[in-house]
Formats: sequence, structure tokens, C-alpha cells
Amino acid sequence: MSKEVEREINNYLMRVASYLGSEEMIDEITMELRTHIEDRAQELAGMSEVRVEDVWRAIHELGEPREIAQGYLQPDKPSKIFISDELYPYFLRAIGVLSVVIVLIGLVGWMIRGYRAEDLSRTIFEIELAIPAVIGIMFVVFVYLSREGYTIETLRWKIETFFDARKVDLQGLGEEFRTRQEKKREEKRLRQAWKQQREEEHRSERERQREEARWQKAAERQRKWDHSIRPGQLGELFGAFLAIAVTLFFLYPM
Amino acid sequence: MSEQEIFELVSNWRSEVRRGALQLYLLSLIAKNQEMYGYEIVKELKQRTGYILDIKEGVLYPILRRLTKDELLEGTWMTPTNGVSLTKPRKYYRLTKRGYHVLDEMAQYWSNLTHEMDLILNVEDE
Repeated sequence: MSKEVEREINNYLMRVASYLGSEEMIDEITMELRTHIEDRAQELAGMSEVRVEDVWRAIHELGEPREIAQGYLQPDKPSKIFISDELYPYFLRAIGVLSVVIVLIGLVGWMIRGYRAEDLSRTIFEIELAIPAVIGIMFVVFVYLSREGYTIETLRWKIETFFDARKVDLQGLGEEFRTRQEKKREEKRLRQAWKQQREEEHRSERERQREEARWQKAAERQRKWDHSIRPGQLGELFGAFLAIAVTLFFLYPM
Repeated sequence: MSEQEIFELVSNWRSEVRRGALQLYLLSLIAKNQEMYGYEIVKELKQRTGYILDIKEGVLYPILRRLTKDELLEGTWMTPTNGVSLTKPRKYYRLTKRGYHVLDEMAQYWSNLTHEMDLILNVEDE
């Protein structure tokens, strides 16, 4: 199977997976859908190699990723008094827990106010008001969740993805901060390297100038030396003069 | 009532009937073949029912999963060894004991229902 074909299948399955819940479920479902697409595409291709067009058709026949995912996630049974069967036990559990919490808060409040017998009837009255209010709010929330087709799996997934998104945001911020720091460090390093290079250039320039000056001085010395009358030359001159004087003395004796 | 409204009502009714019938059909089909994998079921379904149970292929897999969740089916990943070139693992479905029991009940109900329906519809025709 070519890489292009593989990529098309993977893209489709990733889209299905993005609408699904827990990871175990995703693996199982996508694996089964993959075998279906591969089988169908191979059937369409016949004896020849599977083409991207075959995969497209197999995918089209299978259906939209969102629709498939909804099929997996929708509640199993029709709703029970406006709340789906799947969410109903959680609704009962939620109002049970909240009722206990309200009673405890009421009793603690009564104790804080000083255990007075006349306050007890007021506390009971408050508890009696608060419990139906909480049941009402929970009922509205659970009816909304049921109507929207939420299951425990999708709710858990929503919550997890919400926190994952925050985590990703924080990771992203951390990453950005780290990148900025690294960039700053890199800039500093480059500046230092550039400075060092400049210094080296200056140093070598100074050395070059010093060397040049040295050479110039040497050349000057040489030039002066070349133009000056050296002691040897004086001797030679004196010798020549003496030779001429001796020659003249012998030629023209006084 | 406009034609559009009639069409919508009938469409809704058809999809409800189809949903109920599909579960029974799937259980019967798998029971008959003992074990089947997803694509095999899709092909069989298309060949046998054509457009009567016209469903998107992708709808079938969630139903199979739900039937598995309800312990009417059990799915096992297997690599077929009877063919030479078939080495790809596939999820094979077979009926559980509970599945066979439910199938019997459903089939009995369906038989009674269709019988009653035939009688009523025939009376209506006459």
C-alpha cells in the first residue's frame, strides 16, 4: 500500500478519533474501521494495487467521521424522565451527595450559632428549602446534558480535553518562554563572538601595524646605512688616498 | 397535510422500523454464519437486503459495539489462517449465550408481529 493511500486512511481515522472518547476505545474502533477501509479499497482495486481514489470511495461509503463517532457515543437507550439512562444514576448520586453536604453545612452553621433550640427549626427550614433548590438545579443541568447527547464517557473526555488544553497552553507558554530565553542566550553568544572576532581583528590589525612600523624602521635603517659612509669605507678611502699620495711622492719627489 | 410532511413522517417511521429490524437482522446473520467480521457483515447485508435496510456502512460498527456492550455479541481479534494471503487481523463477532436467547425472543416477537401485520394489511386490502 502506497504512502499516499496510508496517509489518506490515517487522516480519516484521526478525524474519527478526534470526536471519540477514551483512548482504549479509539484504538479498538480505528483498528476495526481501518480493516474495513482496507478491505473495501482492495475490493474496489481488484487485483491491482490500491489507489487513493479507491480509498476515497471506501471512506465516502463508510460515512462522515463525526456521524460515525456520534454513533459510538450516543446514549444507548431513550431518556428516562428527560435524563438519559446512562446519566440517571449519576444524577441520583449527585443529588444524594449534595443533600448530605447541605444537611452537614446546616448543622455546622447551627452549632456555630450556639446550639440554640430556637435556631434548630430555622436551620431545618433552610435545609428544606436548599435541598429542592439543588435538586432543581441538578435536574436542569442533567436534562441539558442528556439533550445534548452527553454520556459519562464524553463528559469525562470533555473535562480531560479541557484540562489537557490548559496544560497544552501552559506548556506552550513555557515553551515560548524557553524559546525566548534560548534566543536571548543565542543573541548574547553571537554578540560575544562578534565582539571577540572584532577584538581579534583589532589585535591583528595593531600587530600588523606594529610589524609594518618595524619593517619601515628597519627599511629606514637600511636606507640610512646604505647612504651613510661606513668605517670600512673610510679606511678604504684613506687607503686609496694614501696609495695616490705614495704614488705621487715617488713620481714627483720633492 | 402536505406531501413534504407525509414524506417526513414516513421517513421517521421507516428509520425507526429499520433500527429495530437491523439489530434482529445482525444477530440472525451472525448466528447463521457462526462468526463474521465487520466488512463481511456489510457485504452480506448489502447483497441480501439491497436498499430495504439501506444504511451507511459506518452506522453498522457502532451497532455491533453496542450489541457487544450488551453482551449479546462477543468480538475477538483474529488473523485468518485458512487463506494464503490473508494475514491481516480482523475482529470477528459471534453470538453469546445471552445473544442466542435474545435472538430467539426477538425472532418469535417478529414472527408474531409480521403475522399480525399480514392479517391486518390483507384485511385492509380486501
